[in-house]
Amino acid sequence: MAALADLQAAPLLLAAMMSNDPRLQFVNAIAWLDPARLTERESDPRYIDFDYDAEDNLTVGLHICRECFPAVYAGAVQLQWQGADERTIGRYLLQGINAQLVVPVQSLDELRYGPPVAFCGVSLPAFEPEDTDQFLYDQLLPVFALFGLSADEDMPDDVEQTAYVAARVLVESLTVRTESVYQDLANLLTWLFSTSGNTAVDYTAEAFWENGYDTAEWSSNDIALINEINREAQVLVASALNAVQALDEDKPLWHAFSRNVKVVLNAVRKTFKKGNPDHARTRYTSDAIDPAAFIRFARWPDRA
Amino acid sequence: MFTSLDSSGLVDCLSHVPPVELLAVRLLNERRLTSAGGWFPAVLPESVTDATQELIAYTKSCAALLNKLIYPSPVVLPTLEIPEWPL
Repeated sequence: MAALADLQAAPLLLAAMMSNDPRLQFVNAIAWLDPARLTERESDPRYIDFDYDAEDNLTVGLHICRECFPAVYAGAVQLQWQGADERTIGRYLLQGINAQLVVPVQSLDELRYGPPVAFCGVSLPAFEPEDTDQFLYDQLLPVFALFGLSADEDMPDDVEQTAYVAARVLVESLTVRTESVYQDLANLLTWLFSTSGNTAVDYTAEAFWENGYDTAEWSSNDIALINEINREAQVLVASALNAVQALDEDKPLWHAFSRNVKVVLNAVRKTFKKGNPDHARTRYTSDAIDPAAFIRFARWPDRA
Repeated sequence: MFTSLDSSGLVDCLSHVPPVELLAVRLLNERRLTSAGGWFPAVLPESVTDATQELIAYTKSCAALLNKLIYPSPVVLPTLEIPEWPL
């Protein structure tokens, strides 16, 4: 009986002893609130301190929350102490992380690739005939066709280059206009020709991975940057889709747009053919042409 | 004036430094006796978050200091001449 009483009193005794030793108090606090610290490998600043590929999804999620979303981490740890199963904790982590992101992560497995970017770039060769029922195929191909472009993978370089320069000229001519429909049209062209400067707008996911770019990291700065990129991409693409709708509904606008594309394309094509007067044996490259020299060819009707 | 410090002197000096006052430790000491059941106390989520953030920041600063001691930056000695090793 006495032994049982001793056993029952043991936790209180241990707690009292711990409260008298600052080191034990500290370790106890870590076990309570930050147990990931106890399993964390000793970091060496000369090497990476966390290997995302070597850990399981839950550990990765806890690590990211510990670094970037401490409130979510604190809640997840308390759930662990309450005996919640892995699925519940995983769901809690995902919800907590997604509350801080513009584009949500679909599963804990995706966390290894950094904060998600919603790539919405347009790649013409990626348009397949079986996409005919897709909105994009129906709406965007006629715009590309005005520039002489199609989903054919073997488009000659000079056709692509001329179209690219013509699009730059038209965007320049549109940015001086104050009407919202022309801002939308400029955004449509920068989207279609991948010249917005926004990574999410200018790249498809495949193109981004194929280029071998580094992905963003789970750090406060990178998360803020990716959120800003995704937010801006959503605004840009929404604006571009407004332009698609305007071109579809406003026939005079479509005619003006078609005419401007044709006239600017011709002017640019002539310049390409003429060659570079400063270097008689070299041809122009698209980057060497100043769009400002061609703006006068584009004429836009007034709009509300 | 400070002239030197050996390892036992350093240990003696550090042992006199009072423990850092952390919210997590305070919560553990204050609430454990009043909380029914469980080894750790039941505390409001806001307090848990604050205590966790403070604890993480503290352990990170300790780890950073430790790394500084383990991997000290090289010291440049411009006045030291080693004539045996001219380029």
